[in-house]
Amino acid sequence: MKTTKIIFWATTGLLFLTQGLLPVLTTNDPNTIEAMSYLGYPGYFVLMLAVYKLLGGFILIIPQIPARIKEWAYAGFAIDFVAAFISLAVVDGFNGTLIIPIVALVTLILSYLSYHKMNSNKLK
Amino acid sequence: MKKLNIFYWITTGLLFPAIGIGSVLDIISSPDSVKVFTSLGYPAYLGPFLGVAHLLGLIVIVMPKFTRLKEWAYAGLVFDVMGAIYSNIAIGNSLVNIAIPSLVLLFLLSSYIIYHKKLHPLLQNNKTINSKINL
Repeated sequence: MKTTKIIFWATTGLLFLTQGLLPVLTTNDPNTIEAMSYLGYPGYFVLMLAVYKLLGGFILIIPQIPARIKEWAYAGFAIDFVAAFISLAVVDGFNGTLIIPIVALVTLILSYLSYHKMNSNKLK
Repeated sequence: MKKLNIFYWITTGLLFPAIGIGSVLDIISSPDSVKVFTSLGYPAYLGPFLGVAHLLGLIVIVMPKFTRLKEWAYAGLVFDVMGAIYSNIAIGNSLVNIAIPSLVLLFLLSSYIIYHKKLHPLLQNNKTINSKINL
């Protein structure tokens, strides 16, 4: 149980920092804007994603948020990472940069599984 | 309960022409669908992916059981329609283009709320039974 808690907080903390906070901090970064348009997305998409992800990050990291809302946040992040994988694969082909959404997805899965394990234990 | 069923099937059934027809057009990358995507600024390759995702989501919503997958399907569709509303606002499209996805969102949220009301019907006597909704 202790390892489950460590896994949960490590993965969820990572997700909060890299997927919740980082996109908001880099919305005006020229690299981010260029990367988005390189994948084909419009300029306003950077801000839209950043807002979605900030909300999602807070929902995952705050323990008091109800389980159903957290389920939606996990779903949203999963859709985001899969879509990022598809966008990178279509535009760049199957090369090394695909590891980034894969790592993000694995971190998300670990956070999701450890979260549900912690909560199922709580009922007992 | 019967009224709830009627409202559920009205709201959920309307989603099929609203989202389903568009998603089939997206999958075959019809010129109209490509025009919609590019006018909003999105790449054309997004069409088939979103079309498949929409269709799968709609199918999951009406399948019996699969409560957790249904939760994810509702979430995905809601995020997508909200994104469509935001994209139309950000591009500066006419009010009609903003109103249509908003209407779809209304049906989607209604379907979700009614679905959960059907799943956990409110009991007459709440004193002895714990009616907390869990996933």
